[in-house]
Amino acid sequence: MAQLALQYNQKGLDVSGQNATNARTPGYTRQRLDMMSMNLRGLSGFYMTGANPNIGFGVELTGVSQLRDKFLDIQYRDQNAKVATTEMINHIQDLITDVLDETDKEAVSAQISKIRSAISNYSTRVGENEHEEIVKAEFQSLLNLLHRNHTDLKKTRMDLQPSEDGQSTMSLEVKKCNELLQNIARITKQITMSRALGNPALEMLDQRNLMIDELSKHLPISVKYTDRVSPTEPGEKSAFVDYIKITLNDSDKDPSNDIVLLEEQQYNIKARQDGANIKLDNNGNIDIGDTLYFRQIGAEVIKTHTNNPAGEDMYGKTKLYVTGIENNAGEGGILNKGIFTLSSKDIPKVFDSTKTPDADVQLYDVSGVQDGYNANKTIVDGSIKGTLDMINKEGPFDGTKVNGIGFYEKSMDLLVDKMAKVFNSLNTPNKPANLDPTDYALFTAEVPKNKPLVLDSVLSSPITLKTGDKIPAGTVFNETITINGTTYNKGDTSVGDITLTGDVTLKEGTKLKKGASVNATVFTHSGPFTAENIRISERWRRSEIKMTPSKENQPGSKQNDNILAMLAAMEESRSYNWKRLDSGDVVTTLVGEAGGKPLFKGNMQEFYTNIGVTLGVDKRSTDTLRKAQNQVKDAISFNKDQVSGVDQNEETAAMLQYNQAYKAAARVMTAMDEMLDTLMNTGRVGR
Amino acid sequence: MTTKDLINVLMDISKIFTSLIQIQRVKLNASLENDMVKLEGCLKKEQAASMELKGLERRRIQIVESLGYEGLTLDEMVDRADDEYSADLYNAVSVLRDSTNNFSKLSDEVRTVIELNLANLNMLLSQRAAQAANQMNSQNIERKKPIGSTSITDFKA
Repeated sequence: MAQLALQYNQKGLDVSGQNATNARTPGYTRQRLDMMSMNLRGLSGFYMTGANPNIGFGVELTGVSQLRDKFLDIQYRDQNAKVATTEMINHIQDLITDVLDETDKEAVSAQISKIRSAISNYSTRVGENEHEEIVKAEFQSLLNLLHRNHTDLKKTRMDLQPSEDGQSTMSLEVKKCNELLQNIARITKQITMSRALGNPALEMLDQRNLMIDELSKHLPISVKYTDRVSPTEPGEKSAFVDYIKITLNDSDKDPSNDIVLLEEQQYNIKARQDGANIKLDNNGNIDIGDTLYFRQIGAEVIKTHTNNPAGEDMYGKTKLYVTGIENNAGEGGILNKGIFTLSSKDIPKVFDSTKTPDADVQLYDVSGVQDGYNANKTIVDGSIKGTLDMINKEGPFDGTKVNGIGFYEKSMDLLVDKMAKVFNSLNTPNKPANLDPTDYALFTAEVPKNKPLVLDSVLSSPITLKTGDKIPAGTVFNETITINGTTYNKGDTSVGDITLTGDVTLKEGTKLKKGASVNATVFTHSGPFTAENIRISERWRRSEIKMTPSKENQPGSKQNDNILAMLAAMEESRSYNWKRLDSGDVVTTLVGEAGGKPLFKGNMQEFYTNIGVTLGVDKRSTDTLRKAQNQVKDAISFNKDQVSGVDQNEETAAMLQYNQAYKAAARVMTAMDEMLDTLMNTGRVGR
Repeated sequence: MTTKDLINVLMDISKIFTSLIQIQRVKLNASLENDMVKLEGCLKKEQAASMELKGLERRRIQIVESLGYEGLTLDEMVDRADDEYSADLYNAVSVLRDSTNNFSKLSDEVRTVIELNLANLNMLLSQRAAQAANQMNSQNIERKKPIGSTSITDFKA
């Protein structure tokens, strides 16, 4: 009994020493010596009569375990994911603020005021070229600012969404998750082997828990553990097998549809606590077979609008996927089909294409926006969710609750579209009737080479097509023209595809049908106008047209009613209604136009200011939430430390107790020795 | 009753949610600090806000019925609204949506802290119960112990 007490206290000292030593080790969990009081081996025996009191045989050490609270672990990881989502959104909102911040750089809002002032001046000096040039220059400055904002927002988006160089935020996030999953799989295998040999591998569990905590920042996960597997054969002790399963938390609450990221299959290892009967492979390694598998995640930008076949779909949604998954159409970013397994040899990342992935695993699109894409689940939290929300979601434009980068891009596009259409329309005189508005357009939209036109368009500047280029079907020429030896009549609508055998120039006013694309930059006054494509029209730039002073267009007239109308247009409160085209572009609609949805009511300057106000309100909400979530995370962390953290004072007190108990146990032995001495050396006992 | 009335009532509801957001922030701090007095104050304010909300909700239902919008979602109401008011109604709906969204997220945080506190209470209660059981055992042992005897291993590791 005393010997067991000595052993127990010795081990207790070891455990307390280990705890005290690792008090500051990140992720270390306080350990505890597990013991039980030894029972009597029988109710009576030869030297034991039933009349005597039954005394135990001391203490039995059953192992060393960790002090962890599963509830707190779950709470901590869930909160970790929530905080990471909000912090990522907050970070990206800061990036957008840097782009739209008007305090320390030339501002769009101030520029709109300058234009108003320039038009006001011109209205009193109609016909004076230098004043019209000032208006033109101010408009050009505004367009430059809008182009800059657009480019900066685009750069922000590109820095976030998956990139080929792997350096974007999303690529790095995905890489980090995969590294963590692989390392968790690696250490899980080591833990399993150690446990099979009877080693509790507590420090490795700490390492793994740290990695799982880290993973929970990026993805919302659930972790299930089972410490032991029940024995299946008579005489076999329960095996020390550490079963773990990590699943992705998603919007589908049905556990049978869980996406498994990592799983150790439950199996019956032929191992006993004493190490007997461990199954070895030919190389002498413990054979656990292909019993542990994990998946890898990936992210890619997908095209969301099938009727916009041009390669440059910069508004494409970023999709998150898990390897071994394919969508119903059998396409969409499958890098590998199958699952990764850890073989009985060491860790090699074995890709086993023969394994069939779970059939119920579906593609993920975090935005939840369908757009014809099979995206029936969304992940709920984590920094990846925050990133995807901000690059995929467009607030009112796609009916989601998050004003992501797309919201700001499209809001600026709406402002530009409205401005260009209003001014182009105002600049077209009433007389003579049936004027071609192209001739008077102040603004044009530039469509890059080979990008299909979103609307039926009219060329607002000539384009030259080279040999081999194709004039698309539906092109209507505004003059009689001979191409490839064939003469096409002015206004002929039945023109099919023409592949050029020689260069040809299409004049201004040539009509191109929606969906057409040519190997030349097309300038059209039809729009849709965006912050990216809006230009001062070639004709206005070259001063071939003027700002129309009067709608009645009396030659030599000094009337300024139309200039005043333009000034009023800048100040007029109007509804910014919008609709989405098949291409994904958002354009303004007239009030009452079918399919149009309201966004804002006010003048041009107020609309732009409102974009900044929306960002400010969003940022304030995110900030409030971030602070609250961090407070809660700190509280959970504190509670977790109360259970699992090491208290130096407590350990010191425990060491003193073990020390005293050790001495006491030794004293028992001395006492027993003295008793035996008395018994052996005094002849008759008690004499 | 007009669309303008609907806009006003939605804005009034948003204001209450904004005040509820403030209450949730105080409630969160009170829960973290285990300040029961402050927590009770928050609950009373929440009840008052809830009564106000009920009144406004009744008014909203009346307006919606008089406009013939029964069974429509807020977005559908925006689509059906007169052109004159559609942008303002959209704005009111957006503000309401944002405020309810923020309120719901903050409430989640408060709920998490309360769950945490409950778990702590449970743990403390079970620890107390275990201590009480130990004490009871020790007392029984003490009672049986002969006077003057001491135990050399009388400690808990």
